[in-house]
Amino acid sequence: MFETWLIPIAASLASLGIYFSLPSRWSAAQKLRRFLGLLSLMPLFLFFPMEKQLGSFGVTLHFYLLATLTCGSGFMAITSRKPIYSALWFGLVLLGTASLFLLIGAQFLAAATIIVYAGAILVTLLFVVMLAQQAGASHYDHFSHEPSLASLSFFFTTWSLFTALKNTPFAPANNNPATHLSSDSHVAQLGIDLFTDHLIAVELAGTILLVALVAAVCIAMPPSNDKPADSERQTPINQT
Amino acid sequence: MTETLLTHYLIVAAILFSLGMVGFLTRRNMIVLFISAEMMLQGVAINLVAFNQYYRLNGIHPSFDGQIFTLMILTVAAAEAAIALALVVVLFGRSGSLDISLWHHLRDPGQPAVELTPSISEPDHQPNWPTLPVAGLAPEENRSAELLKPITDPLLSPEDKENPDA
Repeated sequence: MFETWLIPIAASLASLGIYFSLPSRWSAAQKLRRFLGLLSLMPLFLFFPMEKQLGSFGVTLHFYLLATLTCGSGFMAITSRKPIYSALWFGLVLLGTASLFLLIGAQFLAAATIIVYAGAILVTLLFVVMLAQQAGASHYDHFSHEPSLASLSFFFTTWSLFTALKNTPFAPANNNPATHLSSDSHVAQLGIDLFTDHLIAVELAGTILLVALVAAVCIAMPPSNDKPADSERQTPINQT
Repeated sequence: MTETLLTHYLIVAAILFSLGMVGFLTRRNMIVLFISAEMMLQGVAINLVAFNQYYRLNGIHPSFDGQIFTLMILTVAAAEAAIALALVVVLFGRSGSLDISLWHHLRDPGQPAVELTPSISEPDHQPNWPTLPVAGLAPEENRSAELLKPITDPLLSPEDKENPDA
């Protein structure tokens, strides 16, 4: 099923679907175009053989469900004409990503994605959408910058990535029954590795967050109105 | 974890990254630009975690480097979100619109200008706004007789109505 010559065909179908689904002057039938564009993403999933090579039926079923949810929500997020809908579809993308992390055994990252991304970044985004509301119809949401060139770049990116995935020989997995996906002490081992081998990275991350906090406050602060009394106020040093 | 599952995860990551790239290049709304950038970061995170779990669970390379790098990506994404959204708020305050094309005078010297598209002639649909009667003015019909009736509780029994102080 995973043939090299099928990749550009599926990628071209998907890029055509994206080209017709992006907001454009044809304001009519936007929903139909988006639905057809969503269906056009499905050939990219034809490279998922429905075999037992994924490990077990539960893993297969959950993986396909979550992959469909994630990619479909991502598609709907970039083709929505209202930014609030884009934010909500992106919330679904985050849920799908966190579930994919959980499925593969990265439990801490699943929780961290939900807490930080969906719980902090997305909520901040929703606040900004609330504060920066456009009264009336926003015409810029109905137009796209060069959708043809963007679809072409999507085609080439997808083609090259899929071909690279097909032709790269990954190290073969040894069928070790002990390598089950979920481990009880995963978070403990991750914590040990984080705070012994990568301690400096943790401290630097905290510093980055502090600097970003200061920068955000400085950027978003309203300009202060200098009162004339302040500049004329005599300080003990300047008093003559 | 099998090699096919690893390939599948990388395919999902590639699709997410490409979708985010298309959204970033195409859309004009600052919010959607930010969301597309975050979607690209999500694709990269899935990539890193899939590689890390594959190589760690199969005993090839026992370390958590991929997941720790994903944690760093999370941190940088949070920092970027704070600063980018602060910038969005400031730019909206200055221009009154979330359109990124309004700031095309900040482009590189060799780039052509963006055509500011005209407004669409008709909105999507006219919402049926509710109307309220004007407050403070007397209503048209004379309802004073009806309004001056004594207020009685319809749930009271007749005995209670006769003896209200019992």
